[in-house]
Amino acid sequence: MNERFSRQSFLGADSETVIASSVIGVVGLGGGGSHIVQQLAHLGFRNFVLYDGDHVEESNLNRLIGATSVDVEQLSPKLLVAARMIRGLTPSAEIDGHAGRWQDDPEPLRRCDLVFGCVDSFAERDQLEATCRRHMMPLVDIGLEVTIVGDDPPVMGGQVIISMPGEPCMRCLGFLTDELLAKEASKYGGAGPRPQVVFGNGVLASAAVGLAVDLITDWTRQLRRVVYLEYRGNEQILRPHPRGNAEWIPPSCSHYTLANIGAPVFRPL
Amino acid sequence: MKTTVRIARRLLGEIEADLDRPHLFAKERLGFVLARWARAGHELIVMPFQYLPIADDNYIEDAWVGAKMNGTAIRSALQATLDHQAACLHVHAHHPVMPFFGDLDLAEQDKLLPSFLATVPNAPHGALLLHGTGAVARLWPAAGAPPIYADRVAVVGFPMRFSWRSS
Repeated sequence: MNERFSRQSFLGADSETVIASSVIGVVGLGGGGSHIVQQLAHLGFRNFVLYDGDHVEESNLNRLIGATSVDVEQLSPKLLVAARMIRGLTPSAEIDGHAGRWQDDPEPLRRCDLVFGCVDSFAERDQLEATCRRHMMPLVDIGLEVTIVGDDPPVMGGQVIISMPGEPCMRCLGFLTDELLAKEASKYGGAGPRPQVVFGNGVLASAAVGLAVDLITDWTRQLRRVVYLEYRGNEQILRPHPRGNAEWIPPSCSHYTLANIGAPVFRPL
Repeated sequence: MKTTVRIARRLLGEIEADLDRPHLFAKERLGFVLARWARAGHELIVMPFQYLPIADDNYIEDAWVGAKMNGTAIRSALQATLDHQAACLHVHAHHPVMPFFGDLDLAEQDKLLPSFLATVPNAPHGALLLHGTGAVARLWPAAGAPPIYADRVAVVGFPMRFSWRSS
């Protein structure tokens, strides 16, 4: 085993090979995605497909891991910040970077063994999950939201979900609903800047990376079913969401069936 | 061209459960699995979605091989391939001590697969071998192209599993 990874040898005899060989997609390289990329690079992942079309702004510096004030001055793409962080740890890493929306160039994403979804909207989560399901890629979704109502203390919450092809999806879990998507669509353009903070993103990103590593190395030998964690930021608690209980969720997914994987095909009647 | 087969753990479980069933006279079981496929740059992703077990009556008694299927089994798989406009992989299992296709396997595939390539010519048909701890796939990426081994087979589920082709 490489000396660099000697302290994580408990992940399994072949963990270094599995980690180094896996192709990981990260969609969204902001507050959550930048944490995830950093941890993946430290762990020894070296094959990345990255998407983010934004550049670094002053308001990102409160949480964008790896970004500096120089990046703000130079309008550095967030993709560049992520790639710099990876190459700083693994110069020979293979980075397939896309400074744009993944929907505009989705084909490279299909190469991934696992995708992290660090996107802002429910609509985009819905689209990303559909693509991941079609191409048999597990999706690890994270999201953080801070709600401020009147004079009450702000409420910080979030989620980590593993959406596994062939298993219950985010709709099965009740996390995505048509009502929620319609409500979000009706507010389009009027939401304003969303409150975000580095420590909340860090908790969710760490949990997501930990679950992903467990998924591909099976080091705990316990991860055997769908994961839906809820984050209660005000109490600093990350715990299984009640809707992730086996009694609540359907045994299989009716929204994304295996029969519908791959590109749509024409079948003569 | 890099090639990956991604198969859902639940589907793999269904296949393994069928292949493990004893047969009256055959020493092993055979099957087919329908698959979709996608291109990702220079990579080919093959994704099985439906298992087609072979009925007990469609095995032929032959002491020289572990199992042999009849023409009805093959015609049935061809029809399903056509109906679904899918790729089709012949499936069987080996003991973990033999994690590769034998000479007879390869010869039979070379005879069997052209019919599937003629049925849905643009699909990557082939064969999938399960060997306990992993899997190997041999694919014809397109009609007229020579067969290739998949670079890896990924089991998608809790937990993930990867089988790499080392050479």
